[in-house]
Amino acid sequence: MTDELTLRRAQKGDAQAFERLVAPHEQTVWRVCWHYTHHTEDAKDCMQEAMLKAWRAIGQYRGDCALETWLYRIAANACLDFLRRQKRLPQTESADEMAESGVQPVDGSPTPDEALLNAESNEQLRAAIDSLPGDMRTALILYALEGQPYEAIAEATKTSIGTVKSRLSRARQKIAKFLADGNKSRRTSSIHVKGGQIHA
Amino acid sequence: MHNLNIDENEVLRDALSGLNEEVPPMPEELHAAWMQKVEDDMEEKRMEKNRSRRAITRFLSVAAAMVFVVGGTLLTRDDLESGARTDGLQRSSEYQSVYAANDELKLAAYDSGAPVYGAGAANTFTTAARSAGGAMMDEAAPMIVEEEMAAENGAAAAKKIIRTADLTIKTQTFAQSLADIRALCEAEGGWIESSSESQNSSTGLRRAYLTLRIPQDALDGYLTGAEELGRITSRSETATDVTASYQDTQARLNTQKALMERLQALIHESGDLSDLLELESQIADTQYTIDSLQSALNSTDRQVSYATVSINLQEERTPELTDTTVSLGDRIAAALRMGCESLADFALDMLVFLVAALPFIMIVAALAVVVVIVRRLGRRNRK
Repeated sequence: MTDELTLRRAQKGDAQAFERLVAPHEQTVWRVCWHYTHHTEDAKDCMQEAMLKAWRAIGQYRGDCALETWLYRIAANACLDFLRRQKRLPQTESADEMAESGVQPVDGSPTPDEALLNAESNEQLRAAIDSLPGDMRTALILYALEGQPYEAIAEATKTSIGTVKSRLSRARQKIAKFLADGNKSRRTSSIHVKGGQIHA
Repeated sequence: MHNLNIDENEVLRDALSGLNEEVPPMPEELHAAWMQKVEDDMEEKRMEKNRSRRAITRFLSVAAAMVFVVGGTLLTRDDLESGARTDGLQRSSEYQSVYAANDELKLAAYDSGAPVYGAGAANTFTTAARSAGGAMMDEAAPMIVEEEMAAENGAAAAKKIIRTADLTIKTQTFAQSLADIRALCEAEGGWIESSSESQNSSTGLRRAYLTLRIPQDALDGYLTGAEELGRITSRSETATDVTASYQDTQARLNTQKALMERLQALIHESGDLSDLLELESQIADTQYTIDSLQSALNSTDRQVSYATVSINLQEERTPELTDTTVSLGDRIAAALRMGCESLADFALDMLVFLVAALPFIMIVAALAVVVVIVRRLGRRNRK
């Protein structure tokens, strides 16, 4: 059965057709969920939630982007919702913070790229990623960990390529600053996310 | 806006590439777990759809039943109420059709001018008598036309109008009023054609029906006098112009008389025995026709000369004076009573309708049971 027919049957409520349609992308969804949560049980919960949302929203999928991209969008939103409920999602940075973190050091400290490449452990990197707000984290995970091109990320996040590049740049600088500050035990505060929501 | 090139962000891939190696494999049971959630959701949606469908079906069923019962009651309540009277009405209409047929026969006899009695003998002429009769009819035709023209010329002075009047009079002095009606009739030169009296066994009130014949010229005076004898509750008058039919009958009569003269002349001239017998028979028939037509004219003359007055005299008691002002409380109570009575009437009408519709309801119910059983069997076979 062709993908087109499988999609139509899934949209009409055939669970088996839906399974055939999304099964090839299971591993992708699993990885994304794990990158957001770094915890097997949490990742399992996120993935089940993501698949359920995909099932309920399959009728709205019009083929305007690749199915994998569409699933990225749903998985990312499911993970962000989970983190929000767990109060593990930082607030979107303010303009002052953006201006502050954009200043290049002049005192001989490592550049952001140097700080990135010199990270002592993956734990440091994960902690740095966890410090990012939702929009930057999504862009970073899809680009750096999933190897997606800018176009696919823009489609998944319903933004422009320029915005994706900007978010990646900001993420890079924030990670570098985090690593440079050496604050390995920073935790997110109990604040609500104002942006970064990716619409499925 | 940042002016970035890919190289700057590529460092992210390089720096974070190690993190991918830490991703554990997807647990084997995870696929079944999310698939189970999907199937549970599908089942929940299906049950919700069934619940909605059942609710809609129930609502539509109740609505249809209400439309059937209420609509059927409203549409058929008058028919079911008057059902008991249909037999009497049917018999009445049968009688009317018999009377109508008799009237048609009489009119046909008058119109043809041929006698009903002895019609067989009158039709068996000898050749001479037949030709003589034909010649007589031809001779009589111009006479008939002349007479009709004379009748038309004098039409203005010879109008025949039959007048009738019907009165219903209520009186508190029954005996006196009845006596006055009779006395007035005699004073105007009329007579009483028929009268009857009766008394209501429960109320004791008396009633009388009288048919009077009053000279036409005195009719208006009589009616004016009668109105003063009590309280007139209904009055009607008719005036039927029978001039045309009267003149028509008159013309036929003249024709028959002319025919008679010719027949009598022929008898004196004829010597043949068979011709004489035929002529005698024809004379008898013609005489019968003349008598019938003359009788009809006389009857019309009597009806024209004396109008027919029908009086229904009813005794009534003195009405008691009551206070007609109605308080708001009384109005509300009356409205409530009327509402309850209407509701009770409607409920009874609905009951009658349901009983009348019972055969149809039973048929529909039987069909519904069959459909349900077939559907259940079908579902069981599919499982």
